[in-house]
This record gives sequence, structure tokens and C-alpha cells, in this order.
Amino acid sequence: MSSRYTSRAALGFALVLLASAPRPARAEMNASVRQQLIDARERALSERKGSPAPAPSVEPKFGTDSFDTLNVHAYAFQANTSSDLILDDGNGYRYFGAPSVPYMAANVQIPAGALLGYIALSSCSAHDGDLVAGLFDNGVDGSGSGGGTLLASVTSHAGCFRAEVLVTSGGIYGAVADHPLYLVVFFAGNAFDGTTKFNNVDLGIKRNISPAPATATFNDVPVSDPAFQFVEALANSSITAGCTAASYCPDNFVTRRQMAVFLSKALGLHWPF
Amino acid sequence: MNGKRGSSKGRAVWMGLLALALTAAQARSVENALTNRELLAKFHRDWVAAGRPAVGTLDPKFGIADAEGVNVHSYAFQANTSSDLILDDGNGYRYFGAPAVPYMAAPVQLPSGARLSTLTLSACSAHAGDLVLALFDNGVGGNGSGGGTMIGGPLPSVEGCASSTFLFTGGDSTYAENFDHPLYLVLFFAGGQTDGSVKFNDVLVGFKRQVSPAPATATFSDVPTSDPAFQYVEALAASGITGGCAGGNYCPDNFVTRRQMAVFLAKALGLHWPF
Repeated sequence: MSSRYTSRAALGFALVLLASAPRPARAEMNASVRQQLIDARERALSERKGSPAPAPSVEPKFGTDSFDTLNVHAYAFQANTSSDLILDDGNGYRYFGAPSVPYMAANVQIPAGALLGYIALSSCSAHDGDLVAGLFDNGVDGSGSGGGTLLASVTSHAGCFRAEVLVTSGGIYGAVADHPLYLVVFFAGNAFDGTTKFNNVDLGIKRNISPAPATATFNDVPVSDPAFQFVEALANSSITAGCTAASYCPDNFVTRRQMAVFLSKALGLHWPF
Repeated sequence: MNGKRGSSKGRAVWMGLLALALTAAQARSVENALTNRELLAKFHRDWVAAGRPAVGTLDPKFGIADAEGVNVHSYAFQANTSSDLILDDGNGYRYFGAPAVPYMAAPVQLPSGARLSTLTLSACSAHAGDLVLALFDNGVGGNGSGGGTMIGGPLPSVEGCASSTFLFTGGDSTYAENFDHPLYLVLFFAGGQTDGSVKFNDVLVGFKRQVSPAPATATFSDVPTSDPAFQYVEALAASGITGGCAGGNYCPDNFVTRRQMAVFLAKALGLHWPF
């Protein structure tokens, strides 16, 4: 398990600082996607000192402190200008051939409210920083202003590595339904001979229960109830409608009959009986 | 899905070829001799040389021993060389027009730990084997070495408009690893037709979710490794769905209140609402 990290570069440590930097204020959000990636690359390279060294990273564990992985393969990416040639090394790595616009992009779908934990780029890079991957949020309804906000980025290291950047600002949440997210990979090094290519970008995400609403649905589960947040989440999902019209009966035991209803509704079980 | 099953003799030949191909795939990981493309091309040559042996098909059943499927439509596939023209028959089937590199590929994302069960290719094919499909795993980190391992297929198309299915039989060896193991499908247009007579609609990847094997040591003192529910309680604990009842215990024999049920389910599903 750890061997996959040993080849990974030191950039993690330096870039944690970058990743944890405050998100840009709204007034600064109108920089183009291109300019945001260029800036991210400059910051990453200026923070990078010397040769790669072991970096702190996220182990793929499970639990409240760790993350599930969304892997976005190079085949999910499209050239920003579709006439730009994208080539394949025959082994699942992709690269540009002399593009007019050296950007590829892919859409990303993550659970509503998910917390972003890391962004990683698996690539071969002729030099440090020949590739930069960034995750953008186009904002409410993708409303067209400025290309959205750069949520996180990772910059390639010379050689074939999986470079990872931890996102440590816990305030970064994934898409609610109307926030389209997308990844952009920027071929910053202008190496279009196959020496600089990428395999995938993976995102660490953690599902996240909604904060509680301001008012209670059931009169026997008031806002002060220790399970208020959770009961409200179930009620809003229509997994429960309570035991009567206005109460949930939180201290009743769950019968096996009720258990069957809870689980079938929760999972949306559907079988062709 | 009333596919014909191949004769047992045909299947035997097929399985032999499959074994050869998989052996080749495994050898690659050491020798790194063949690219994915070359591997599929070699399979096709060998398969034709063997007289295009029949391939069995599967009925997509349901049940605890069976799979759900993720459908990867032809629109999710990209040409390996993007200047290669991909055409559409107007009905959701896609094909190449005189490609320089007759391969298309598409990414696949499966739940962590899922066990692969089937690959099904829905296509129209002038001859059997004009299309060859395989699933590749780019390996740990996708870190540049060789293109990974063929973990599913190769699966040739059958003649006519029909589906053909590859069965995963490797048991524990065929788990999909979600973490940094990028999986992708490659479709090889082996027959060379560019007139639309050979086209495909989709690939169905059948898989089954699977609870982790139990860990070696117990989290809760009242749910020891010998407990019949040990594996499941540990899976919940590791997922952050339960923190136990108190004092390092889980209280496995207590009844669940409706309040507790709400906490279990909301955490399990990660319910998130914009209240």
C-alpha cells in the first residue's frame, strides 16, 4: 500500500500550503480558466524546492476522516478545441499533438455536498510543471461568468508519478445539483511529442450529512435532539414520514418490518419481480 | 437476451485462447513487451487462425449471486487518435471512418471493491470478431508503466446485430480497485470496415458490490472476531456509520431505536440537503 506513495513527489508538502490558501474572493473569480491554471502552476513551482522527496498523503482508508475516490481517466477528457489532435500512447495515456489550445477538460459528478479531500494527477512529465490539473466549479447554474472558481489544482513532477495535493481547507464542498464541476488539464510545457502525457486525475471525496435545518419536522424530535440533524435528513429524503403525521417516535424500537421499509426506501431497491 | 451458447468444443477452444491471452497479459506486466493495442491485435489474429471459435453468452440475471451493470454507451468512447473520424448511424451506434488507429477507449468507474462479473458488447458485426473488446486496469497510480493489465476480455463480437458476453471467472482476482486503479475499455475495430457495417452501441460492465473481508482485530470488545456479525459491524465502524454505544462497545444485542436508525441511515447514505 505504501509503495505507491514512495515514488510520489515532495510536492504534497509544499502544495498543502497552496491548497489550504483561502479561496479567491468573489471579486477575483473572473480570471479565465487559463489564467487561474497558469497562476496555480507558478505558485506550485515556486514552492517546489529540490528533488522529489516523500510527501504526506491520504491513504485510501474508510471512515469519517477519509475518502472515497473518483477516478477520471484521460479518456473522459476532450480537447477545448475539438480540432486539436489528441493522441494515445496505446497504453491508456493521452497527450496533445501541437494544439492551438493546450487544454483538455472533463466533467465531474460527485455526490451533493461532498467534501473534497485531494486531487491527484497520474502522468509522465518531461519537466516539473509540464502538466497542471485543476478542478473548477462553474457556480450556480453554470451561469457563464468567467469560468468559475479553481477549487484545487495539482502540478506534475518530472518523470512518471502520481502527484497528489491535499485539500485541507475543509470548506470546499462538491457540487450541489446546480454547480457543474469540471477538470481541466493544461499542457503547460508545450511538450507535444508524447513525453508529456497523463493517465488520469483522481479526486478524494467524502460524503457529508447536511447541517440541520432551522426548524423541526417532528414535534418529538426538536432541534435540541441529539439526532435532530439525522432525522431531518431522513425525513427530507422521504425515507421516513414519521410514526404519525407530526411525530417520529424516536424512542420506539425499530421492528424488523420497519427495518425493511427503512432500508428499501433508503437504497431505492428495485427488482424486476 | 436469448443468446446462443457456443458448443462445448467451441468453448474449450475459446477458453484456451483466453488463457493464452490472459497469460500474455500477465507476462506483459513483467516484460512490458506488448502495448494494449498489440495485445488485442494478437488476440484477433490467434482467434481467426483458430477458426473463430464460438463464444457463449450470458443472461443478465438478478439476485444475490448476480450483478448490476454500468452501461458505457458508444458516445462515451473516444478515438485513440482524435483526428480519426467517428461516425454515428443516427440510431446510437458508432463506427470508424478509415481510422489511422482503429481503437476507441472509454473510462469505467466502479464501486470500491466491486467484483467484476461480465462484459457485454452490443454491436452489429459483418463477421464474428470484427470487433474485439477488452477491459484494462492501468495499475497502481497509473504511473506510466506499460498500460496496465488486461483484466477482462478479450471479447470478440458475434456476427450480425447481437450481444456477446465475457464471463469473469477469476474470483477474488477480479475485484475492481477504485482507488487510483483507473479502469478503461478498449474496442478494437479488427475487421477494418469503415462503411458502417460494423458498429457498436454500448458495453455493459456487470459487477457486484461486496462487503470488505473482516479485519484481523476487533474494534469493539463486545463484537469479537468470533461474532457472526463481526465482518459487518467492522465495515460499519470503518465507514464511520457507527461509533459504538459507549466504552469501546457496540451493544450488539440492544434493540435499535428509531432515533438510532435515523443516525445509522443518514450516515450510511451521506444524506445531504440544502436546508
